[in-house]
Amino acid sequence: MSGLRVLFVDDEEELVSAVVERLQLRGIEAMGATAGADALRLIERETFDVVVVDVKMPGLGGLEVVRQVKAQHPTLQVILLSGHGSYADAEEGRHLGAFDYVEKPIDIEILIDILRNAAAATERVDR
Amino acid sequence: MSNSKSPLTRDDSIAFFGTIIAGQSHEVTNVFNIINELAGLQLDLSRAQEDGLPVNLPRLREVTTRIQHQVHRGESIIRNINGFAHSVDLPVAVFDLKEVLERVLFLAQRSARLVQVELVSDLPQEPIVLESNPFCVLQAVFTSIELALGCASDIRRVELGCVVREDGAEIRVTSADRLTTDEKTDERLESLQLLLESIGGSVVKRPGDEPAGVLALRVPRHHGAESG
Repeated sequence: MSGLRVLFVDDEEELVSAVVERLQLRGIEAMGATAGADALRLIERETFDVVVVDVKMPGLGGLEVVRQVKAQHPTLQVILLSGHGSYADAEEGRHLGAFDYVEKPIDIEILIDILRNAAAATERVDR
Repeated sequence: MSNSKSPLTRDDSIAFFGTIIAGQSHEVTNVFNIINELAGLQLDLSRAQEDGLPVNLPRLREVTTRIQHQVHRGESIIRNINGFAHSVDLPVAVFDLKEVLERVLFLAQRSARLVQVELVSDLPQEPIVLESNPFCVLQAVFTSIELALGCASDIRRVELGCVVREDGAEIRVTSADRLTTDEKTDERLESLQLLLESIGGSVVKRPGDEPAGVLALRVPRHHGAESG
């Protein structure tokens, strides 16, 4: 899917760089961040269609990122990444306005399907 | 001195065991998640040939090295979990305290990272041989580190040190920020004191004794001896 701009956020740098590269190889414009605060700064500077953020991170966690993104950029879609044992947080994230959540380990094709659905939902809202 | 623990400290020990296993299993899962993505990237790169593009071998090798690094990281986590699990094998054992302290330092890094505190150590070069309950020592030091991490506010640095004494060892957990005194901290300090007493040791310093927050745990060299 060309033209889709995605920000991927997780505190594991190796995970971020690998996922970002895999998305790029599939024609998606992807950027990465390893902290919630860095992600929020990037969102102010760049334009993204979807933000994918891990629920559990040191400092600003995924849920706080959802809160702040939805307060500042209501149409920007956020997808939460949930690991083992953080499904309750992921559900809470949906209540806060997250579009969906993806469980780790990530299946890149499933992630891309959800990214497309999220971007399409934004387009529907914009129309 | 008896090896039997009061119900209070036994419950604390079970909770401690659960905390460590839960935390370290998350660490192992993180490693698997990264390996999953790097292996996926390796597949993506190797499929270039199917699209008529040359395969970038140096890039593939680099990704393979990154996978190997994660495997080593995973091995290190498993080795420490295994060492931790075996610390309950014997109620009294002869062990190197330095090894135990290094293990606690490893196991506590996750807690430190999550609250964004730097956890460092300043340990003697030589082995420190004790005859005691290694699990109790692990639990006491980990609890002290958690107390210090919970109090970190401005400087956000906690150091684990150890001084060898004639009658045993004094393990010091120093928070660059002053340890707070509240009901919860007091309760945990009481549990810590009970735990150390069960192995003939003690907490000899309390929050507020020095400008920085210091918890000093004294552990006797021999099981049954009192360290004071």
